[in-house]
Order: sequence, then structure tokens, then C-alpha cells
Amino acid sequence: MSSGRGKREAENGRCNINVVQLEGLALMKIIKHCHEEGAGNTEVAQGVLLGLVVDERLEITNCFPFPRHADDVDEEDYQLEMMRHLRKVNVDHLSVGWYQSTQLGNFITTQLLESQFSYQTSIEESVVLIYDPIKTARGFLSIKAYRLTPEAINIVQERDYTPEALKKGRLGFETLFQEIRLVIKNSHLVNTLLTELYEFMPGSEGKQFLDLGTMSTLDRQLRCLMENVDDLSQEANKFNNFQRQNAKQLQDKHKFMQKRAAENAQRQARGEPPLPEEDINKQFKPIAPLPRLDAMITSGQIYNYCKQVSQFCSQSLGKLYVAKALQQEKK
Amino acid sequence: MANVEKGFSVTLSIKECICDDYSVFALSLSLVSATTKPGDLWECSIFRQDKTKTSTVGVEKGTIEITNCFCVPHNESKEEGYVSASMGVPGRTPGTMFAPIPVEVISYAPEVVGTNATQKSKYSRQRIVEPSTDLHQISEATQNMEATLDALICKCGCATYVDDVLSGKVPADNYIGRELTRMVNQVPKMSAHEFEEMLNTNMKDLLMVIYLSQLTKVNVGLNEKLTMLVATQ
Repeated sequence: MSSGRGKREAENGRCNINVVQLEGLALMKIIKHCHEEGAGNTEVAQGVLLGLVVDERLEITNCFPFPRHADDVDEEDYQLEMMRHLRKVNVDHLSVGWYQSTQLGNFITTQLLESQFSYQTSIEESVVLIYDPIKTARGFLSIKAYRLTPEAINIVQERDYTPEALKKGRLGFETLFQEIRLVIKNSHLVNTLLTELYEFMPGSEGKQFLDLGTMSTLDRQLRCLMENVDDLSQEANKFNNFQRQNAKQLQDKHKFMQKRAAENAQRQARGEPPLPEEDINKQFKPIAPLPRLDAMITSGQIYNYCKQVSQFCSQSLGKLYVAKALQQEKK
Repeated sequence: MANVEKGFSVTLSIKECICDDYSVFALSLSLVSATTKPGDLWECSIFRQDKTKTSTVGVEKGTIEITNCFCVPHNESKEEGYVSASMGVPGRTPGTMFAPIPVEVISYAPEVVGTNATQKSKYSRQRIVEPSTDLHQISEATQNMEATLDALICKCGCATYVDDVLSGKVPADNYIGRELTRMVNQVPKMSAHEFEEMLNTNMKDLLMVIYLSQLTKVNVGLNEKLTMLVATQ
């Protein structure tokens, strides 16, 4: 998703975004779009965020979704059209990022990396908002803002994911993305509407997060976790193979050199000219170092899952303790 | 007017409502009814025909479910452009005629959560609210529950109500009685022993999962450090 238009002059030095401020309207639009789009698909719902940057705050005031199944609609054109129309109705039309839905936190992928990279290089301050509709349906609003760290940007720019480059750039799976604090802000007008809506809203529906049943979510989360761990172990295997091959090659090289040296010594003893020094490297082609991108991404994903599972378990434990306390009261 | 004898009840789902000059909030509208031609007479354009719902109180025809609206640039004044909750539906007359319609707001689960989260911004000075962690939310909810139980039991004199009815002091109200029995019956009947056991097994499961996830985290970190070390020797 490259945005060719609107290349702002990149500020010299880093841009510091400490907090992302989201309008209630944008949040509800994201929720609605992801809800209508998602519902059981594995595809993600995506869209663009619009807003402004004020000091160290990135204010997101509006958003619009991307068409999903329309392959004949050119993405850039659609975006431009949409922004033009929005400008006419006096809505903020400067793009400051994009959003994506996820299922139980499986959003750390290479595509995300690439997309966020292209966004961040063209618009310095862009963020990606990750919204989890499944978790929100269970009762906990789950929306987070991420940016690529400067180290990550450097590495992705070079497209060089060998271990040496990663070590030099100090990039690990934890330093790929940085999470930014997100706050929700509403104008006074919206607040008045909210007070009105409060009367209207069915009071009993917002309480489903007090449900004690944990097994279904836990089951799914653990399944995803297991798949990722399997992927990571495959990567580890690949790496081990690479190591072994490398070691073997090194050994072979040594042997060859020793043989050479011995032969040369013999020849010298006999007074014949030594054999020409062949280029060893041509004979033993160095094996290309393994790119660590997939492993890093999978590790990051696993880390994320673990964090989520811990959070989920902690709140379930809390609920169980509450139930226990109530039970004891009854006694 | 004769043409509007069949009243329509409008159920709004909270999605989007954008007013002329500034977005108000998310109230979205989608017209459902099979009878009228939806959308023609509306100011905001509507898209999406859903299945007709069963009628609500005192209404004959279907309900209108409104899910989407956006604003159209026009030069009219703010008052006309504003779409308020108690709007009217044009009848079948050729001209437009607005009659007030009973409005009921429904919304589906994630939206409720979202709105609840944003509700708190009413109370803060800078109109800012930060999404809280899971555990925090649970503790808040338990406090709320405690407060409501308190109000129910102590202040409304629930406990004494039953005694009063039994002793004949207060006339028995069927509705209240039924509600009370329903509430009491909702607590599942389990012996204390069973309950303890269920609680303990669940707790053990969760603790085990926490332990495993921490282990995995550490393992993954270690894996990365080791490969980095080995690969760059």
C-alpha cells in the first residue's frame, strides 16, 4: 500500500510521537467495519486513518475502510477519490496511517512489516492501529497503535536480514515494533450525545466479559500459539542445518588446504615448482547466510501470543476469585 | 395522515451519524422495510436492505434498521442537516412529511464495548479516556456489581420485603415476586464441595497456562540470543 501522493517533507531527525489520540467516531467506524467485514473470515479488514499531528500527539479524527473484494478498483485511486470527497465535506483528509483487524493477535506478519514500512517512509508519522474484534466481542476493548522502530526501518530499507546485519542494527524481535499509548478523546458535542445514548442503550449487554467460561478462547489462543511454535522450530531446524553445512564446509576447506600445503612441501623437496594457488573460494562456494526475517517475525508473534494469554489468564483468575468470594459469602 | 396509519418503529444501531459541518458520533442507519421504497426521500443516502424484523410494540409493519449514513455536502442550514435520534420517516405521500417515530437503539456486542469505553470520556476534564487493562476492567465491574447489589438489598429493603409479604404486612406483588425467584434460580445449584472442586480445577488450568506461556516467552528470547551469538561468530 504505497501512497505516492502526499510525500511530506521528512523532518530532520526522528519524529516523536508519544501518544495517539483517537476520536470516538473513528473508533466506532473501525469497530463497525471490522465487525461487518470479518465475521469468521481469515482475511483482515483494512482502512486508512485520517488526522493531524499536533506537537507529540497524533490525532486521528476519521477513517475510511478499503474495499475488500474489489480487485478492479485501484487502491490508490480509491484513496484519492475518497479523500477528495471528504475534503469537500470539511473532514480531515490528511492520511496519518492505517488500521487492520486481527484475530486474537496474529498480526505480526511480513506483509504488516512491509506495509508499515512503506507508509512510514512516505509519511513520517504514520501508525498502524490493530483492532481485535474477537477480544472486543468478549468484552475487552482491544485496540493498539504500533510504529516501526528506527532500527527496524534501517534494516528493512537494506532488505538485508542476515544475522550480521541484524546484530549491527541491534534488531531483535522485541524491537521490531514499538507500541504507542492510545487515548480516546471526544468533543463536547459527542459527550452530550453519549449521555443521551446512555439512556437508550440496553444495560445488560455490556457485561459479557464477566462470563466465567474461559475454555473456548483459551483453546483457540493456545492452538495458534502451538502453530507458531511449530513454525519457529522449523526455522530453528533450518538454522541448524545451515550451521552444520557451514561447519562441514569449513572442515573440507581445512583438509584441502592441508593437502595442498603437504603437496607443496613435497614438491619443494623434489625441487619442482609449487602448484598454483587456486582460488579456494571458487571451489568451496561459501554458503549464503540464512536470512533471519521469518524467524524473527515468528518469534515476535509468539511473544505477542504469550502476552495475550497471560493477560487473559490473569483476568480469568480474577473472575474466579470473585466467584469464590461470593460463594463463601453465601456459606 | 391516512397514509401513515401503519406506524413504523425505527431501531437505530449505533454506527454513524455525521452532521453537516462536524461529525457528531456514530449512529448508523440502514433502511429495512419491505413496504416503502427506502432511501428516496431521505436526505442522507441509505444503502443496504436487510431482512425485515418482526414488529415491535403496537406496530403492524416491519421495523427499520438503520446502519449507515454519511453526510452530503449541501448548502442548507445546520438545523436541517442534523439527523437527530427522534427523526421521522416519510410516509408514502409524494411530498415529504415527517412524523415522529418511536425510536429504539440496539447495537451489537463490540459496539457496546466500544461505546462503554468511550463513555468515560464524559467524566474526564480533558475529555480523554485511556483504554484500561483487562484486570482493571474486571475490578471496576465487580465494584459496580457490588454497588448494585447493595442498592438492591439494603436500600430497597429486598430482604425485608419477603418477610413482610409472608407476615402479611405488605400486599404481594406478583411481578416482583417472579423477578426475585428468577434471580435466585439463576444461581446454579451446586454443593459447596462441587463448587470448590470446579473452582480449583479451573484455577489450576489457568496457572498452568500462565506458566507455559512464560516458559515459551523465555525460550523464544533465549533462542534468538543464541542464534545471534552463534551465527555471528
